[in-house]
Amino acid sequence: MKKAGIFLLIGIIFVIILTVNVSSVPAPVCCEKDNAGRYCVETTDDLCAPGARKQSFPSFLETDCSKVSFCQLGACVPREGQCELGKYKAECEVYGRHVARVTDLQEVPACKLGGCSVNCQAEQYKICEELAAGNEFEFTECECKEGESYTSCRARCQTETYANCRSKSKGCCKVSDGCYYVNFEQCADMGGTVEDFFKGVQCSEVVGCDNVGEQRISCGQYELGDENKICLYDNRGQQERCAPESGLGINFTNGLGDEINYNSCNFAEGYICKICKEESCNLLSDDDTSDEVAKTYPYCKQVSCNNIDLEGSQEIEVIDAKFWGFETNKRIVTKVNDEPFSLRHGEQKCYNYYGSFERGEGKEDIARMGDRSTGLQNQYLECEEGELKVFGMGLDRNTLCQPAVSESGYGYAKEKANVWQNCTSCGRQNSLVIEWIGDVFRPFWPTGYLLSISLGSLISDRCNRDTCMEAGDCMYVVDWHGVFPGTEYGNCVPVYPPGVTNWEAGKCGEGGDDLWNVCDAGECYSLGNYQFQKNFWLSAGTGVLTFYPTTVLERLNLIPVECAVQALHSTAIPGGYLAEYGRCFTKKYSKYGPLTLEFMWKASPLALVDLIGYIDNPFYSKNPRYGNRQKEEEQTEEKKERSDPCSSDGDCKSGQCRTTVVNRVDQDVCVELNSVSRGDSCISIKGPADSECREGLRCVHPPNTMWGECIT
Amino acid sequence: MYKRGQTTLFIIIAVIIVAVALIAIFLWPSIRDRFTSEEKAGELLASQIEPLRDAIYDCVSETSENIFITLGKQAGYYRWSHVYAFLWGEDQYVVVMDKFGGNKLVNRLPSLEMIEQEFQLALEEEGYEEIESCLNDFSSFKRQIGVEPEEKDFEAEITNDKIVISVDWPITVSKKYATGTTTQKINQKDVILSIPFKDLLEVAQDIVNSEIAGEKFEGLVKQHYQTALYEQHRNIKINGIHHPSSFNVGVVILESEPTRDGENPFKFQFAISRE
Repeated sequence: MKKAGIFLLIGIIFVIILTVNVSSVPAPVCCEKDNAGRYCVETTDDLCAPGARKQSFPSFLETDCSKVSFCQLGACVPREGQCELGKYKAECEVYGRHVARVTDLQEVPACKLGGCSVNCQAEQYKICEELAAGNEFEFTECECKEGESYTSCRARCQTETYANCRSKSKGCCKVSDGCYYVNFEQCADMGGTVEDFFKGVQCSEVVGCDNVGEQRISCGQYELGDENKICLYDNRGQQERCAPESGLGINFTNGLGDEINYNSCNFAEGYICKICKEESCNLLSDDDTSDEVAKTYPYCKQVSCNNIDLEGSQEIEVIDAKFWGFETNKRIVTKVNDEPFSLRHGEQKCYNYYGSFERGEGKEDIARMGDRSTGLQNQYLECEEGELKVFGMGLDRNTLCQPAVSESGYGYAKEKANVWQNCTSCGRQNSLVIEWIGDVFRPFWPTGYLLSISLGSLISDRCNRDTCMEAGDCMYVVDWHGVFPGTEYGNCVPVYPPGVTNWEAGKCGEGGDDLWNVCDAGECYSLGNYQFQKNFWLSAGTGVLTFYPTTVLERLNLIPVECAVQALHSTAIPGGYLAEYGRCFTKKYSKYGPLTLEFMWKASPLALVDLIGYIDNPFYSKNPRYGNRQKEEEQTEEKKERSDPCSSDGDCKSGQCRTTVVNRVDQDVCVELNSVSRGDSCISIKGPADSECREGLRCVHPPNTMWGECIT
Repeated sequence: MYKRGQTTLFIIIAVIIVAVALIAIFLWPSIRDRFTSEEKAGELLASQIEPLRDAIYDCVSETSENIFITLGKQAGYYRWSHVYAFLWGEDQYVVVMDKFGGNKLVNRLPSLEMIEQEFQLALEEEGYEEIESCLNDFSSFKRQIGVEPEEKDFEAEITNDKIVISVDWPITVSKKYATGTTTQKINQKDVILSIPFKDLLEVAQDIVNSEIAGEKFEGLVKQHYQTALYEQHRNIKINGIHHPSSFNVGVVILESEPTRDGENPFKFQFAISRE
């Protein structure tokens, strides 16, 4: 009662102090705009701009201004200009309309992307509306694909929109200084109105235009989306009808005195329209049998990059939704049988270097840099008018190239972020000390195994192949497979080494369950732009240093199990199991002494011998419950240790077989008569004359136990 | 004695001649006005109007261009003490996307309307003064005609490929003649700057929108964007540089390539922080 009063008093004082302290500091508020002109800031009441809205936070722990209604983040639709993402409501309301909680502009109708007929560009709806300036306009909405970002969607939309729109909207524009074959936007730029624009009509056919048609043949105009077509032009240089890609084309002179049949160039087959700059050119550049045209006349040039034969690249392969590089020195072929491949004009292809990879049937997931990666980067090839160009994607290797194919069947290089940052955090979920304790037992059976299946994530966050791959673009490389299941360990490293130099991806020898991980060349190269230098003495020293503790630790690990099984023999005695277990435990551990360096040194050879014998004769073979009889019979030849059950003196390794009484039950065990000094443990022997203790001493033991102490 | 007297006389005469000449020079406009006819005064006034408007155009143009260069260097802000900036090399970059003070990315790029307001602010703080200093109180004109400027009000309208500054600055010019004064009120020509400011801002907005939506505007994203929007932004170079200390902080420098007569390269630069 008195104690409760003291606690209550302390509590009251604490609350008073807290209240006084809190009330002396002005409470923070979320301010719409402060005196400095900043929007949505956490500040004090007096620093808010005059007239600005402000709101207190629900608690001192939650001071996120974006949760306050007038400071919500979202999209802003300005009165003029493009939609903006990530704007505070208070700021946006100054110049536009705010749509809260939007993370994708496609969700806002005014910001949706589409082909705008005014300028034939992919624009946001509101921009198209602004460009039309009150005039009629067409807006063809572009649907963004699932997972496609706004920027990528816009780029795709633009590509789709451009050619269609340009070719659809062309016609003759009749203005004061002449007639021009353009699209409406260009006509408007020249001062033309809707009445001046004759959509789809050639200028030579418009009344009032003095253009004379079909005077010249050339490539179509880029601005009209006809750059790969072969078209006729009038005397004023205005484009007229264009030839179809196949079938009956346009008959026109070739400049060499003949009339030939022109067809437009088939871009899908790799042809683009070019003007002949030689004395003469073949109508199809790669076909010597095709008609010839003179200089300044149009022809179709093959611009695909054919028969490319490059080696040394790797492709990213998706296996089980994870990205892997695979196989070295594989040609970047898309066809079978190692045939050289082709790229069409504008088509892209990944051209990567990740190092030496070995992966596949009969191999482990060893996909590591085989050498130093400094200077290597992911690249992509692009075919530009028959010329193959290589583009680097950054020496930091934060961007990987993943091959992709567009809907139209064109290969393109897709960017993928290299997620290497969390690889070496695998197996390090908890505090360093707890992890270390867990990792100590990790390779030792059964403790490591039991810990990992029971307290795995609590005491030692296991790093294995699955958890490693969940960490990003990481791979798990097994360093030690372990003798027993669940005792293996390894390291988790980036699949694609980043171009880092300051161990940003983790230090060599630290990945995964790092207590037992030793830095090797593969791990070193996987972590960045590093050079591995083998140090024999360091390796040998590490080996020697780890040999002793590991040997002893493994031996010690087995003792509890061994004793647990051995004590089963004493289950007949009430309370005997625990006593026997304790005795066994003490005896076995005492053999190895206290855990000191000296002990390690001395105990290791002993433990090793013990361990070898143990592995050869696993405990279960001694246990009649689990083992086989044959093994048990073989063991009968083995001499018994002190306190082991026996049937005759000959059974015992040393001493004699004597009867003890435990809990009023007789039991025959091996004893060493008259050998135990004062203060040491002794076995109580039936009959006063018989004792383990030396002369003049007697074994005094608690009731119901066979163990006691030699005293005077 | 005689010679000394002669010398003194000559000195006095010389002083008088110089004094008369100086008086004549200073009073010449008034003297001239006394002998100018109304017709002549009208002609003189008309001949001075265009040079005056041109002088104003040049001064407004130079000052406005300098202001927009500053705005371009400071991500569209004139006064940016309320946003963050970091120093890199000798340049300071205004951060237009960050998570400071919260856990969500915030877009701090000013809108077109805000930039136009920033221009107003810059004019009021230093621009108007600079223009007046450039015109030197119309002193060269005031020797010929009377110049009475009224209140001025400039407004910038930023379009895709140019900036139009409407110069609302009525000025009353006058010329005295023998029997009176002829006056005329003139207004100024709009100043047109060949700066594709809106284009640059649109690209900046695309970059920030992309980053906020979770797509880093780097590598292929940037490449695809540039390829696809070639027609729209063909004269804009996008340079992005990571900060040496972090991949999540970088600066973006957008630079327009001149394609028109008298156009200079123009930079719009800013910083982004993904942290």
